[in-house]
Amino acid sequence: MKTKNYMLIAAVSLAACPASGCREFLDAKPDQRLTVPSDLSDLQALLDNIPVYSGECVSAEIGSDDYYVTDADLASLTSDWHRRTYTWEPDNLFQTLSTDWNAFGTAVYYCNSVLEHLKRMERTASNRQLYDNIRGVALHTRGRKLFQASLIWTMAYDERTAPSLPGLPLRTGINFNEPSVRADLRETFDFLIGDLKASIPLLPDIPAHVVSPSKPAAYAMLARVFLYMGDYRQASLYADSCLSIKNGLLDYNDIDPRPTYPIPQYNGEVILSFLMNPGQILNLARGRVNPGIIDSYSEGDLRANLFFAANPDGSKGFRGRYSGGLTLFAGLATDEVYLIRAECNARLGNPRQALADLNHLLYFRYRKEDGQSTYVSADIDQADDVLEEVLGERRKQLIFRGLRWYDLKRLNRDGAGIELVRESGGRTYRLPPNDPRYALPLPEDVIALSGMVQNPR
Amino acid sequence: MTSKLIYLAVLFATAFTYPAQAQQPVPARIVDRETGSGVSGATIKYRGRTFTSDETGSFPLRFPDKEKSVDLLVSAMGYARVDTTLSPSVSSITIPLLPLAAMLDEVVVSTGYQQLPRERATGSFAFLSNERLNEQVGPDILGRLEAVANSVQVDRNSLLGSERIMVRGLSTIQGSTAPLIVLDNFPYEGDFANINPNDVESITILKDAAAASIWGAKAGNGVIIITTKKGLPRQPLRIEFNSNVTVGDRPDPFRLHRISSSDFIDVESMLYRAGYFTGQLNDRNKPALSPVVELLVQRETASPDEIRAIDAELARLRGVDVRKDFERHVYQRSVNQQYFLGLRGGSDLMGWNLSVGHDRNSDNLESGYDRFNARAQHTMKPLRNTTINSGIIFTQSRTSGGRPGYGQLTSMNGGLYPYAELADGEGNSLPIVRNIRRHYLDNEADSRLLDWKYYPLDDYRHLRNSSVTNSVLLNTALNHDLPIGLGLGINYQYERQQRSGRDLQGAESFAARDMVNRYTRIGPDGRPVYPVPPGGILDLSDNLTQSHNVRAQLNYAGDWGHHEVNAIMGGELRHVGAGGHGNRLYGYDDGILAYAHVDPTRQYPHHISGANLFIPTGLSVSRTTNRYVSTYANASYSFKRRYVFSLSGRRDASNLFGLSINDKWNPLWSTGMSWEISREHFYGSGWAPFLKMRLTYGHSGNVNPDMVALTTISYAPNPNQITQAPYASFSNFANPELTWETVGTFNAGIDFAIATGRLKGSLEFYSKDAGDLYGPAPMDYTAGVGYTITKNVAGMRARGMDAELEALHIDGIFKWRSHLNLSLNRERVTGYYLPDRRGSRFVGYTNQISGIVGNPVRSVFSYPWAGLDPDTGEALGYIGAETSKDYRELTGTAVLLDDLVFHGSTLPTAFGSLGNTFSYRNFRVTARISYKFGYYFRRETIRYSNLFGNLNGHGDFNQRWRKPGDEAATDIPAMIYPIPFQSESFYPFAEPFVERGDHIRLQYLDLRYGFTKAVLPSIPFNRMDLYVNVSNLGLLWKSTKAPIDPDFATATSTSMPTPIACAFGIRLDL
Repeated sequence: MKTKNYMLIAAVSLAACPASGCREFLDAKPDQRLTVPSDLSDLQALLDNIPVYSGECVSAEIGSDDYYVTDADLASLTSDWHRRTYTWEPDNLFQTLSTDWNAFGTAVYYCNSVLEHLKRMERTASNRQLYDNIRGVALHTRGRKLFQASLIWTMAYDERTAPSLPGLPLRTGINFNEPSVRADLRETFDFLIGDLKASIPLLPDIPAHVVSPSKPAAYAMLARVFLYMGDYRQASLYADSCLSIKNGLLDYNDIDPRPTYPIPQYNGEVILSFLMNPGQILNLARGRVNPGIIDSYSEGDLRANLFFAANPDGSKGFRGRYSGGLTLFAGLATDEVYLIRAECNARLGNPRQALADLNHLLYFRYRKEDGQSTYVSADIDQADDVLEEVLGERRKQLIFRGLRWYDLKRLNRDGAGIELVRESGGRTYRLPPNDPRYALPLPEDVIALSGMVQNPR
Repeated sequence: MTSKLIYLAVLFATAFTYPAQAQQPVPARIVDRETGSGVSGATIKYRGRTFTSDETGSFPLRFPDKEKSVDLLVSAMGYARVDTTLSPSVSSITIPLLPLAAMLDEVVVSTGYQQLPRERATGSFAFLSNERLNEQVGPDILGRLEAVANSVQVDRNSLLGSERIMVRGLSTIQGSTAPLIVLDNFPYEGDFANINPNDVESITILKDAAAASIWGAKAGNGVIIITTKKGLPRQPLRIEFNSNVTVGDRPDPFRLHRISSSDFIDVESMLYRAGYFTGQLNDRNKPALSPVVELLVQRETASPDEIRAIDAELARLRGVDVRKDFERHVYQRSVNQQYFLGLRGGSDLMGWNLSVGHDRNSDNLESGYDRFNARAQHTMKPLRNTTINSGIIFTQSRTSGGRPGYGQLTSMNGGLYPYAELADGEGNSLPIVRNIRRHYLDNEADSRLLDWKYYPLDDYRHLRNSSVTNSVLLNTALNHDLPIGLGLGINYQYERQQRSGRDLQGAESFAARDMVNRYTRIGPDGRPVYPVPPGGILDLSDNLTQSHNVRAQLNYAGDWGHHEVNAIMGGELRHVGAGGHGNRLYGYDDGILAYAHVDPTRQYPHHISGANLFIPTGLSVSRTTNRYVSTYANASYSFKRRYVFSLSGRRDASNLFGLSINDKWNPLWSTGMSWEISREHFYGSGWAPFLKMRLTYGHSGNVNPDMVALTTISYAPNPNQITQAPYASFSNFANPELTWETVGTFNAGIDFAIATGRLKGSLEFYSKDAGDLYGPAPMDYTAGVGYTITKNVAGMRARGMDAELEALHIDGIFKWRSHLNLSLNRERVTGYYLPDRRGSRFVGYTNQISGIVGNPVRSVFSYPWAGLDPDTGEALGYIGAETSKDYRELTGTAVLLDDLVFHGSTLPTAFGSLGNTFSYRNFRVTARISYKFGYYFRRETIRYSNLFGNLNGHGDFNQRWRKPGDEAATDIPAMIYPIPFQSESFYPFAEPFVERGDHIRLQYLDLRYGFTKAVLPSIPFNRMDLYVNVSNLGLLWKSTKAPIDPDFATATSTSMPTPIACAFGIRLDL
């Protein structure tokens, strides 16, 4: 009889309590799903919580110049913040309790926690592989989140000014009561490069899934970072390392153009997937691609169709998303790495290698006839300016990936002098090169709560 | 009552007076007052000795000398205790005992651990008799408390959850305000709706620190103890039958202050002209557009004839109000039927109680609730010193879904256009726009899709939602008397509640058709491919909760001379385990129980948008375990039965995760004293025969679940759909800075009866001092642990008074009785520990703790208001002394709490109820009003973002500023498109939208006519009552001029006040 048993248990337990007897009784887990992170699989489970790490802030894309929004569509936006970002207002670009800033902080906290717990676990011969992978993923992700955040909230990296410019708060511990302090920009980059470099030997060549970091992802990420910093030699080396492991390109001829979003997600070019939420402002109907860009695709270029969808009113939205759906892809893919290597080679005086990469990429972007691409390879003699060529293709291939803002920042730093101009509601808005507004303001409530310095306005 | 017994005892005693010799035993006998037969086994205590009466009820009584009288205490199972003083001048004594069964209004305070005669209680208790509880009708017992119970209030205005029942206001800031509900001896884990009100004998509410020291930390918000009817020995057979039917009116959606259809059409036309819909028209996802917008689109390219037709249609729609369709086709009268049959009886050694009850309810939306209760309870005394109680309660209830009501039926973006038409002139169901553009469905959609329209009046017929709860509660108690006044009690209770949910969205339902269509794609051969197979969708869930409670308790009762000690000590173990699982079947056919498989690991493009979607699995599995161990002791010492001193303590531990063992143990204590002044010799007041003073003080510490020593993670209920790997999130963050929350509670009360009992009642004063209260503290979310974290945020002090008065104004054939509850409660912040004082945190709808020392804990603040801009109609606020419409600055980080306007408390600071009962012969009328005073609430107003985006327009729209000059008469800002940046973070939280909540409500009216055999000998019953009860009669008075019932003022809700209901019933006693 259950009743009797319980009575017996009760009598015995009462006699023993509150000594050690009831300790066992009280050690039962209140919720079976709950645990104290105690082994590697728990840490792996924290790192497998993909949405914590995969979302990137879309504000950089909103500020850039690949698209425009009509006055009527701008007025109809639910998000005041996106409206203000579109016209490059100096402040109040993020809501109170900003989800963008929170996502950044949360991802870093998760990585820090994993690293902290890992320190207390023993690396053995049998768990070595998993142990290293966990450490590699956490380091890589922290470095990547910091770099992507630096695109939004800090000025372009210039090694002359970096020590005097505000960078990001570099939190490494898990004590959340510790105040946040912004490091300078150089410290920020030293730190994130350190993380990314340290992750390389720990990560596998082929990840379980491209939502998780891998060796090629670490190389590609470092190539992206060094290109941004203007260190073309390093960027070229990392791009090279990446492509030596992962170098596949999609043949756009194989893609069925009929679905709304024709390019499959997690396709063969994707090295590491992370995403931006386009909001209303960058959806197919409202974020209209600049006609100048659409016109820049030559005859036979499949991207002209695969990348753009005509709206009922004749305008075009960007549909060539490597996410395969509503979200915008901001991740790493081989097409970008080819373009990084090409640009570095062009800048380092190796135009031939630069063109080789460009030709290889574009071969798969043009319509095929009789099994051969209609793409006419650029020749070193015809190409008057290889760098210009590469940058032009970069803009055509990497559109709506969050990389235009990245390019604007680094190219203007090097004197490109690109001024952005927008007409909206009868007013003209301008964003001159290297304007302080290229570093978006931190959310105002974060400044109030933490006492960190705001970006100069 | 007790005093009456003493009087009777003395009367009997003195009736047989003749001189007797001292030291000689006096023949004495204990008898049943009703039957006159001797009571055996009664315990008689005097002069520190204990005797037991024999089979005839006799016992030996000796007086020490002929001068000295003796105090005598007689107790017997099933009888009220008698406490009397006998003088030695008697020769023979008969002490009559009143059977408990006959003593309906004798107050015995049940703490759940012991039955305490009221005179020994030092703490604060409110008691509700069966009779008072039955002045209301309804399937749920707790719903009756607000109207009649002292210091109980229900807060309906919080967005934190549904209705919250509170005893004496707030005790803590975070967490539940709900009092602990105890059914007989143990906390009740099941659904309170399972308790049949007809089985309830009485309710005791423990209000002060004594509650927590008896029941532990969970009792910090008070304890509501429900005592069920018991069979007692020596009780004649009693059969009780009760049946009633309650009919409730239809709710009136026109009582909601909403924008008119005509105004709404004007707004849509304005938005259309401004290009608001071009983004949606251009959108390949084909988002829904309202019928008016579709007409405006058509009008662009229409011929002059068509334009006339379109304009005529627009004009017609201006006169359509969907609320009429709700009145006509959706809302029904609610009908609740209740039947109850109870039998009670008892012989010398045992008592029993059997009852069955059945409730059948159908609400305004035809959702059903059926309940069947069966209960058996048994008390026996197999041995002279042993009592065994056992009981079983079985409850089966079934709820079934009904129609969607106003506010639940939605078209797009969570709203419904006000000119929606649910039925045509003949009452045939019409489709309304839902989620997808009608133009697309009519002209472009693939004909091979299932019908993708939504027919709201028919749809509910295809939804079969039901949940069946079976619950069994078994309990058994053994009490064994040991020598020297000791007793041992062992209690065990097992509770098992099984809930099975079955939610069928039939193949014809919109939800099922929508699910199928979403995934449908047309294959290369032109045939549709269905990743989600056509058919119904069946969700099944099963949840089982089982609890075991064991308690072992040692009792002691001893007295010598004037001294009396009563003590208990014991320990208990409690285990509550719950588990459940759910699953979903697609392509389900209820006729043949067939279903089809889907592939939840693949993504499929949405039929319209092309976005990749997984098919939801509906799979879940859960298991939770809660365990508690407690030890407690409680002792009272009384001297001369006048002075009582009590002490009570308890320690609780639970399996709260990640707590170190020292923090698991939570000590609580309380101490108290009482003085029954009316027993003093110097007290000769004839007009106030009873006067007693009570004092208690108690201290409790509360440990928050967030206060764990370790950081914990929680695994997600489903795997990551992309990688199929389990994944986890942080659920708690170790925070070494947290300390225990402490509460000290002081209670002082007097109980009195004056004018020979015509006026009796109690008056209590209390103060609660709480320190280190837990609350959400805003966090620099750079740290990555979220926007807030639990910290010790504040200290508070609550001071209050509870008064309960019962008066018999007129006695005779015509009687007039009154019952008054009055509670005053003032809470003040005594310390605020957070540095963050941004004003914007304190104006929201969620009740933030006030950051100003001296203010109520939950205060209503608002932004200072400078009226409307005379030129534009925009809201104006103040920055310093300057008016401004920079809303970002007005609501920004520079505006601090001290810049806001303080209105007052969000919780009533004075509340209670007043009932008056008039009776004439067998006819009785009771009317009760309730009142709440001294509080404020923030009311809803027009928010243009909701109007434009969610089709949800408040009726204030037609009072908005339209032209210069309007600002003198209105505070409603103009409609401006696009909406000025951040204006809606400002004006809805500004001064004009704070209202006083004070109101008086007519709670219920109860009419009954009772026939007794004495009056009407021809009836075959002892008693028959016929009754009519009217409830939800509405407000008698309110302070605010806004057309709002302050109890139903939830800021964004579309909930309507509960409509008036009338019950007719009959109660028979055989």
